[in-house]
Amino acid sequence: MSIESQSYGYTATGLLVKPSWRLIPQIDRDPNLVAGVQATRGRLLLWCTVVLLTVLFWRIGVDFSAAALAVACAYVGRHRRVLILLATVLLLYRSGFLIDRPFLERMAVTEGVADRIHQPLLEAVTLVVVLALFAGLLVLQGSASTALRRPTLSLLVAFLALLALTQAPVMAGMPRVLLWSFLMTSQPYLWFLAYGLVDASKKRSPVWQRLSVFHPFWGSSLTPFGKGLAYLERFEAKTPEELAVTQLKGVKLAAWILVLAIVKICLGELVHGRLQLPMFDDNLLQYLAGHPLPRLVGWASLVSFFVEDLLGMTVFGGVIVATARLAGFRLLRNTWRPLESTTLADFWNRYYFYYKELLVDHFFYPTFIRCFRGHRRLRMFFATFMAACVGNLLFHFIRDIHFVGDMGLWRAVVGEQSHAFYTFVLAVSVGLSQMRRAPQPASRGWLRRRLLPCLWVSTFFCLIHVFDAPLDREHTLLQRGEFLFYLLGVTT
Amino acid sequence: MTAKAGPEIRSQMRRYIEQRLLMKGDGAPLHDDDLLFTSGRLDSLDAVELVMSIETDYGINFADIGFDLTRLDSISAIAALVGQPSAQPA
Repeated sequence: MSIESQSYGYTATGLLVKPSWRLIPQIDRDPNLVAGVQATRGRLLLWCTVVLLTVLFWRIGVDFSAAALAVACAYVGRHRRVLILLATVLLLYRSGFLIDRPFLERMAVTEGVADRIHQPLLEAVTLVVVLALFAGLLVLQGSASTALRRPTLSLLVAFLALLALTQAPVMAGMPRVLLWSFLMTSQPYLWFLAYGLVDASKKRSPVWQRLSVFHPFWGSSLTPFGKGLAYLERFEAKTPEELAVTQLKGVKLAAWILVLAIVKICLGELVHGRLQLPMFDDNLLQYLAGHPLPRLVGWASLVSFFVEDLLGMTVFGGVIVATARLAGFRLLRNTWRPLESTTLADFWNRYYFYYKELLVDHFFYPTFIRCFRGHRRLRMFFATFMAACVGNLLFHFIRDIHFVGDMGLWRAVVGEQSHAFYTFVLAVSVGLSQMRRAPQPASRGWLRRRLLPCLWVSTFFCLIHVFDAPLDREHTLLQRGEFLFYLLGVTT
Repeated sequence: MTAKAGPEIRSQMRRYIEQRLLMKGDGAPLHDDDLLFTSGRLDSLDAVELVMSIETDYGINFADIGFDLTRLDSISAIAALVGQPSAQPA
């Protein structure tokens, strides 16, 4: 969460450090530009810049088309919320409301009811039911007498119970298809609802406004970028000057992300095109097939995956945050200089900020304020474990519930063993890292204070990536362990 | 919180938070209403340290009053939280 704090450019002594040269100028700090963007001509120029950036992004295969909608949202004043709702509905409609239609069609065939179902009609009805249910829950949570004390826990228990119910023999046929339809329709919005319920118990807002930021038009994964309405409101530009600065920050970020996206493409071309380095997963498959590639190639592909993944995450989150900023929401960046992390906890914070925030908000804090209150270190460690291991695992299990439909509950759970091991190691390591968190004395020198810790953090995340495969339910923990031992030279 | 205790809490919190900011290399000026977490100057780990410090120093149980980061988001907000009667231990 220290994402923007470090961009203030101060040292520990309070002296301002001004870099001599910047690839992307600090346009948001230029008073003339800030004033200019508030005038009609300036706004027109900003809009042209956004269109140019959209075209350049499109040329390299990155979708930045929501940026034009974002600029429109920013300028409609008190109608901004309405336009956000319309833009969100429009883009969700374009993407089929994120419902996994092929899965539901497959399920209908498997259950032998495909000829009795009109799939688009079923989807539409289920969507209405889900939205009505969400709206009802948000209304109830806004009332002190009916509010859930632990909304996220209640939500997860209910969702997982329904998921388990899909496996009951009594649900065979049409009931199972209907239940899966409900689960697959609500699943993309589950964590948005969790944030919405937490918000609703603290502050009153119209339900439609809360729903309008469930998968907002500026983009998101299942992780809400910008959390819920209450969080977004804190970041919303309130004056024309704030809006101008926020939008200039959006343009600046978009330009930087464009550079990184081009770097990512060039790197991919160099590594996998010119140097013919295989993808990391291909390395694993070759090893398991009994034809291991040279160890050096394995290491090179692991490192290249790590770097490409960092670039990919930066571009993915950067486009979303830049779009939100153009709409007038000064969100913090999702990925911010992860390679400068000197601790494991810091890396997690810098790599995928909004996902880390989700785990912290819904797992860490609730555990922290309730469990082991008399044991300082154990309390911190346990809360970290609940977030980084239990929360992390649950998030991915829910994200990939189609495996339950395709493989059955037991096989889907067992298939997640490797990822469970990954989250366990991650949680223990981050937990220990947090307990040891202390400022490094300057006397240790740049090498020991900065470079070596940064290298250790990157190496750690590189290595445990071998087990980080939530989408792979076929290969066992043992197989991935053997591959790591091979890379480390323990086995041949 | 009494009228006397208010400034004292603010002053204690200011010292504590300035110290944490300095540890992060942030020596920028800090005002009572400056946002700490929303602005990104402090992170979730700082929030945890802050919670533990408030629990220890002022006997507040966050499990009872409910955890809400916005109530820790500025020196003024913290002072108000610590000073409100419902937050005080019975």
